[in-house]
Amino acid sequence: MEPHETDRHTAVIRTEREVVTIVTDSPTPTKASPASLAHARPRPGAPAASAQPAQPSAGSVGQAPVTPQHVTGAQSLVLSLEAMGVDTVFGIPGGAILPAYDPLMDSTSVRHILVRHEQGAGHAAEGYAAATGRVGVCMATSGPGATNLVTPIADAYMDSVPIVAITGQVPSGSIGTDAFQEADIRGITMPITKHNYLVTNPDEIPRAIAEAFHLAGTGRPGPVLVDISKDALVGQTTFSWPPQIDLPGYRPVARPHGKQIREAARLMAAAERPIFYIGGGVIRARAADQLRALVELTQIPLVTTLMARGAVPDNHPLHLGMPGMHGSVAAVTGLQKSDLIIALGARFDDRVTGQLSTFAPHAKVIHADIDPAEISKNRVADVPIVGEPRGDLCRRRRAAPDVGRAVRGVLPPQLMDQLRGPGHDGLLGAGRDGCQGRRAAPHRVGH
Amino acid sequence: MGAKVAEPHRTVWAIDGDGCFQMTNQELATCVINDIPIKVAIINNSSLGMVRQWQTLFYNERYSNTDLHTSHNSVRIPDFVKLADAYGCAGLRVEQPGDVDAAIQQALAINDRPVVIDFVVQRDAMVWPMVPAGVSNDKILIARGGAPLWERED
Repeated sequence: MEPHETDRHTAVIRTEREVVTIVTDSPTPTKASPASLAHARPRPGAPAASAQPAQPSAGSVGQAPVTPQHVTGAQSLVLSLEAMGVDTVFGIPGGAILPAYDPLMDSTSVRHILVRHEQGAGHAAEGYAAATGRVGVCMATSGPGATNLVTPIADAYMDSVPIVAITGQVPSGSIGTDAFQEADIRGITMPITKHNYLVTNPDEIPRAIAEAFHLAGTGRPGPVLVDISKDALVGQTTFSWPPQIDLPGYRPVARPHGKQIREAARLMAAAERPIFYIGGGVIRARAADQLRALVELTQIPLVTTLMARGAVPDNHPLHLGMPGMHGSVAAVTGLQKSDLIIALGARFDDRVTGQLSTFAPHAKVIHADIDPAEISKNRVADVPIVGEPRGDLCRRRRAAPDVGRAVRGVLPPQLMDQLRGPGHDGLLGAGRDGCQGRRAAPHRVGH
Repeated sequence: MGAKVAEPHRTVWAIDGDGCFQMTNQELATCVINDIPIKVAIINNSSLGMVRQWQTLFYNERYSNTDLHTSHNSVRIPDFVKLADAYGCAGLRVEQPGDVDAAIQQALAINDRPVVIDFVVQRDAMVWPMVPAGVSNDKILIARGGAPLWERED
């Protein structure tokens, strides 16, 4: 796609997987300013396969260079956020972050929403990210402002939600002196962030922001915190974009191994009581359509965890409900009695498995997840598949036509009707009173 | 709130308990001031319900510090309808199952400000099914002391 050179400012960013073009409708800038550097979201129909905004990969990215401009660190921060395509920041100002709020007020592309408690800002950033797949952004001052973000950051860590938290910090010369509203937020959030930064040099701000968004939104999504000292915000720097980012140790696996996919399809074709165990990773990967197609093709029943609810609608004929401690009897039993669990983007959480030693005792496990650390963490995987679920599901579908034919022959349609019929409330109904007199058929296939 | 900001054209519901709602409900102000018309359904059992359920089942109904006084015996501290009104939201209360649909329809029709519905439920309502903690999923219960009746197989 050729960059337009007339009335549009076009950035072409080469990511690890694809070229994404971000086009803004604002006029070609003659001077780099917060307003003129506004970037629109990627257009629908643009070559991007992912709905996420393009993030710069390791090394410098190919992009029309921005005229370097002398600005303060605070202006550099706002320019960086604009360059990343941020449209919303939730936050509360305070002493240490105050310099950043001044250029923020003039931005025409970044909307700041003033909350009433920083915890609200953090959770709102999470909600934004969970709903769209884009990186959510929250901002707070030092000390108590930053520590009020801890709960939402921990929540984002546990639920793999991509957010960037930007906090003010006391001037670098005061760090460690128990200064006014000082908190070692980098240390405090070290165990609950994917990565975090302390920036004391204003020249580092664009790189830190670009890396933070990249880390938050790629691989297994998660929270990244950028702590910026007040002297870095007021200091002078030269803003240029894109920055050179260098993360040599960060290489999220993107493409699953073809051999594993074929082995998975083979197991699926041979299984008598297969079941899909769908977790939040499918939502994070925006792969609900591909999942739906795979389910329709294979006609294998599924369960969706709390984090995955809505990936396939609850009223889908093959949907057995939510598994786990408070899941439906059909879903819990479906997993317990299965002979093949196809786990997609799920982590065998203790709320789902109950006592691990007795969980799904007859089942082989295909475990597809983007995070290799989850594979065989709680339950040994017979077929481990590491990679992006979206690509994995597409490739699985291509390998799956035989599976579809095989499974459709094994699973009688009347059984699915039985499982969902009104006369079997004890199986699919949750929380109905009284079990006497209701006969609940466990999920059985092939009978 | 964040989801509604990201997707303003979609209807967004928050389903909360009366306990967790109080932890962040000051953000109703943010929603009203910034035109973020979310809808909040408070399932109000006047309790920290999940903890209370465990106290019912495993601690001989000794309810230590799980009583929130938000609806039981009509003690309402706070009164969520008045709270919603104080923040400039529309506040509704439902106390009968037959009124649920009408309240939801009413909430769906209000889109210029947030809507908060106080659904008053029994304090002792339990969440079923349940697998007791630390045991096999085969021990799933659908009522107190009640397991599903499995068909005999094999």
